[in-house]
Amino acid sequence: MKMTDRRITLLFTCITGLTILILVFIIGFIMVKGLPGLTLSFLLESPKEMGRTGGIFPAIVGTVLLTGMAVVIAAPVGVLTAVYLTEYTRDTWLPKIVRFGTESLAGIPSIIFGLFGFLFFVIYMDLGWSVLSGALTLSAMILPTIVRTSEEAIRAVPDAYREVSFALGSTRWQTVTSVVLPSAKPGIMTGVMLAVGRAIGETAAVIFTAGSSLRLPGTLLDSTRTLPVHFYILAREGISLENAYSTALVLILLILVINITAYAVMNRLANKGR
Amino acid sequence: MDQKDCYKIRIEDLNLYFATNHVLKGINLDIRKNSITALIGPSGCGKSTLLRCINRMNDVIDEVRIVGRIFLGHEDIYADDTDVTHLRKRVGMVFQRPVAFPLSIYENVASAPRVHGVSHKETLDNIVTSSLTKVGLWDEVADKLHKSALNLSLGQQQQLCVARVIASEPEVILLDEPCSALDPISTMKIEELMRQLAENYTVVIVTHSMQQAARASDCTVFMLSGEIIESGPTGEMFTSPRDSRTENYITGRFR
Repeated sequence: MKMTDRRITLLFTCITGLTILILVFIIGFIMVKGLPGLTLSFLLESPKEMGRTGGIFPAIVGTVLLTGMAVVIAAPVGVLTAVYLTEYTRDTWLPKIVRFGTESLAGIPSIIFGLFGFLFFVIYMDLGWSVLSGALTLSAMILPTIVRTSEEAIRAVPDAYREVSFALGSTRWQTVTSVVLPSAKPGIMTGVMLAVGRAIGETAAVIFTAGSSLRLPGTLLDSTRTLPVHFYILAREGISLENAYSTALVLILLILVINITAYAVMNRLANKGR
Repeated sequence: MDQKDCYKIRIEDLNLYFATNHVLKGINLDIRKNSITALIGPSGCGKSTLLRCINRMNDVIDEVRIVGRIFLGHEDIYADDTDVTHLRKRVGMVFQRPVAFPLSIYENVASAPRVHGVSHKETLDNIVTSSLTKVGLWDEVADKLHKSALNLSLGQQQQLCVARVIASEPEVILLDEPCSALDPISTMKIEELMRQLAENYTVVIVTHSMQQAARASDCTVFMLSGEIIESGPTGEMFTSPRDSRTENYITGRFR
């Protein structure tokens, strides 16, 4: 028995090691390739010659703008949907349909969302290739993720909390805002961060809806280019592989910064006890 | 004080049905003001269900039907125009397992007055301080009011739950087996606390511990299969029970 235990432990250690190795290899590879081109001027300048030289500042702005707007639109809708599904409905046909719908939507490839966004927002709503079209499309894409994860986080809140809250005289809404959501907040935040990760790295849905303009967007109706789209074009059209790697590195660092900030904020909130 | 006014709660011919089960059968009971009344009986006898009728916590369960009346003071709490939120402000409840919200100690206590519309910072501060002082927790937590309540021991969490109930200034406090998750020392603390509370509040406790009922209550109500078998002053009940079933239960020959 003891030998088997030891062997299994060894096996698991190896497998875990492999996972970490793959991760380190990918990030390391991109760092090695991208680090030489990563200078302050690369971050702060506009691209020249289609991105062969110059920087990627507009693409950073476009990425943050698009992702930020998508989350600002999708997060409240998603969380409130989850609240409705968990707190305001019994297990009838309606929540089942909504749940089935969100599950199906979560599994749809992003390019389908891109196509939908192109046909609906860009052409039908006449928003053109724009920050707004891109953000709306991305928000539709990440909505199922937010609904699913928020729903699970809210379901994980012990019923005893609700019971106590009702016993204090709270209405259902007071219970939701003062007890259920604060308790579910870490889980909801994780879901939103997953959604941010999905949105920020999205290429297909964005290229169809926000276009690929290299200029800094002046209004929400201007076309823009995000970091993934930028390095896709740089690499695909053979403009500059070096800059493509540097752009990829910036994207990874950006995601890292966002995650660290989010968890730091969350921990501060948690330490305050709320 | 005339005879009628020394009773805080009067239960009249209360029947409760869960789907087709007749759970509480013709309950009539008067509960004295500013005293501790213990509901005892074997598991499933309906003592917790009866307790939960007093703050209408059974309302939220599907398929429960309640017939009869419960008077709190002179008001029938099952009247159509009863404001349940207000009722639950007047009748607070402490549950079997301590349920501290995953918030700070301060927020846990403040959550109760907030429900009832208190939002003024200083008022809340005062309520939190006085509630924690009344349950004897103030000295232990004064310097960590804004730390998570989940770091407290189970016993402290139960004290916190009592403080939270007191914070909404109730008239009646219901305790549903408040010590069953606690160690003996914490149990003792809660019992002392109940004794203090009885000076200002009407306390009703459900307990499966006969020793606890004997030690800590003024009146005892013995229930069996949804009926009240016997009720009276605790001393009399434990020394000279009138009904043989009561005697069997309190001497441990029943089960």
